[in-house]
Amino acid sequence: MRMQPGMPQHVGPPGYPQAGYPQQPVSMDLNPHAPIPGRIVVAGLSKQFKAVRAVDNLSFTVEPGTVTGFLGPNGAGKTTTLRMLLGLMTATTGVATIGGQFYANLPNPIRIVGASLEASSFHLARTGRNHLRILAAAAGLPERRCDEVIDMVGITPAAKRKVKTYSMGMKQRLALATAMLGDPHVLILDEPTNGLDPEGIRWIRHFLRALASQGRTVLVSSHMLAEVSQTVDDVVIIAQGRSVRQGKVAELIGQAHSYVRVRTTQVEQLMTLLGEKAQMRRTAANELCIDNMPSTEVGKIAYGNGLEVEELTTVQSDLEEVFLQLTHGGAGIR
Amino acid sequence: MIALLRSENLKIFTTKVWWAMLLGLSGYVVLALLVNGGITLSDADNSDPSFTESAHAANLYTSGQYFGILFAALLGALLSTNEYRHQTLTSTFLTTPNRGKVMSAKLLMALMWGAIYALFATSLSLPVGMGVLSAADYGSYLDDSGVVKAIALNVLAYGVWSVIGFGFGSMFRSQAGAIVLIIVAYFATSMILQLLLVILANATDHPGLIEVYYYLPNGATTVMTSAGEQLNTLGELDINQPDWYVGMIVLLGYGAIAATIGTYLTMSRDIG
Ligand SMILES: Nc1ncnc2c1ncn2[C@@H]1O[C@H](COP(=O)(O)OP(=O)(O)O)[C@@H](O)[C@H]1O
Ligand SMILES: [Mg+2]
Repeated sequence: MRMQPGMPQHVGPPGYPQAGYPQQPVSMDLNPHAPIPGRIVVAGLSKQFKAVRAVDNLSFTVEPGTVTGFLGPNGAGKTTTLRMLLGLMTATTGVATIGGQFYANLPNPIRIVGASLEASSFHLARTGRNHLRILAAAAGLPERRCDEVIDMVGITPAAKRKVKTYSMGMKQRLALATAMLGDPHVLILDEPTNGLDPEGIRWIRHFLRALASQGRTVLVSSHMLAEVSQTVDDVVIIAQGRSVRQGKVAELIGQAHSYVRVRTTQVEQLMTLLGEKAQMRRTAANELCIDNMPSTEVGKIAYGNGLEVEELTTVQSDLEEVFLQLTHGGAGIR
Repeated sequence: MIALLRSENLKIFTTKVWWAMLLGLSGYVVLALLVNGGITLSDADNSDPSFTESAHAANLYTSGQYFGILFAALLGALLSTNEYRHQTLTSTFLTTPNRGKVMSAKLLMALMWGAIYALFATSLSLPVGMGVLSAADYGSYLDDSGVVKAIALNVLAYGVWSVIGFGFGSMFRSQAGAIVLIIVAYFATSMILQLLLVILANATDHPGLIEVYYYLPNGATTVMTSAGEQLNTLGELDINQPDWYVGMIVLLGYGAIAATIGTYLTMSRDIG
């Protein structure tokens, strides 16, 4: 079967670790430190660089089968956290484990955890395919697997070209291919949407959702909530190394101010029909915003009374605004 | 470990550094052969007391060593600093978190590639050297154990120098920094320090001071690869050149120290 770009599937040789991997959400477990396969646990993690406390007593968990957004402005400590989780940096305090184990103790880790940290960490004079071949050789994976992941992320035509000829989007895809090389059931991606056009962001959203629906754990960092808000189930938001908010992205959206906007030539009639209960603002001669009614109800009243409605929309007042408030206006450069 | 060696070898073969350096080396070896050939031909009557016939042979067959080992050291430094320069060490250590294992594979590669450079240089100097020797009416000396040993140890020398360069690169990480440092240190120890030792020895009337040079990386290499006979170019001074195996032990010692420090630092440092 030929891989369709954008549809991650299990394509590794038989015996890959995902065999028998739980596909449903894991059963209720009250101990957050229990070693559940694919669960990421960060507990009391800190990192002190000379003058900067890049990560400050950070704790969170990521459940298998979900996509978790790890958000914060530039310099908030996301990359540092991921580097500690992946055994590349030593933590000043605290621990970070994957499936109850330290990354560095995993046998042949890229078959269990796929990670990409910076889209630019390629030798520019090497071809994309050679970059993958080098890692496949070290992990004992067949060379065929390189072509599979290249195909999976849709960069086959550029595979034998030097990375220096790649656009940012192609580098991001190559980074994703790198992470997928071992067909891992945990994916850790640092700013995979950075530098992507809307089409690229949409593509990666589908890619990550497909991975999660296969029961895999996905942790994806971003400094733009808007870029991942439609992709993630959960969010962990940090600012200046500290957690400022964790929970379902749906709750965050709920917290965001949302209202219904109606465009009609019959604004006055609509205002009368909606009555006194409605909190509304007339924002233009032919535009009305209603803050406390769902669009279905507004629509029922308007259409039921034969009003001519040009537009009826629920406006998701900036999720980004909520994000900025939580992260103190994005003052992240330290 | 085999997998890691294959991976490291691929890293070398998928960029151009190895053959660009090899090209530079071959140019220099040709130059050295011209000079050394001239020395031997002008001494066809073997009147120079500091050069025995076998010393002529060993000198020719190891032509280009003076800069060759510097090339090997620079290659080693490039192999280690490339991973920092292009930030590929992140994916290397993500794939193999056992850093000690990665470093062992890299050190073996550095040793091997240094030796490959030497074999390449030898493949040029062997036929040319034989031609020059026969033109000067000397024997080829390829049945002389001292000469054969010099050729073999010359290969080892390139390998160890590549390891030394690798160790330096791992210590300093910055590619430009490591290269400049190696070149400066190389000429400082091989020329300036040697000169200072001679001046000091003359001033204090302690000719033995010059022997300190044989315990520096460069002097040790010379000691290890000279063909048994003493290669004393300092005229009247009474100097004792140590035996070849002393040079070998000293050079291996430098290689081990550089490899150990580089590996230790790499194992404990933060990547990123
Ligand atoms: N290797 C390092 N040495 C010193 N400071 C660092 C290092 N890496 C990151 N920092 C600092 O730590 C903070 C967090 O950086 P980082 O984790 O890269 O943030 P993010 O990925 O969220 O943008 C920043 O202030 C950054 O300057
Ligand atoms: Mg970052």
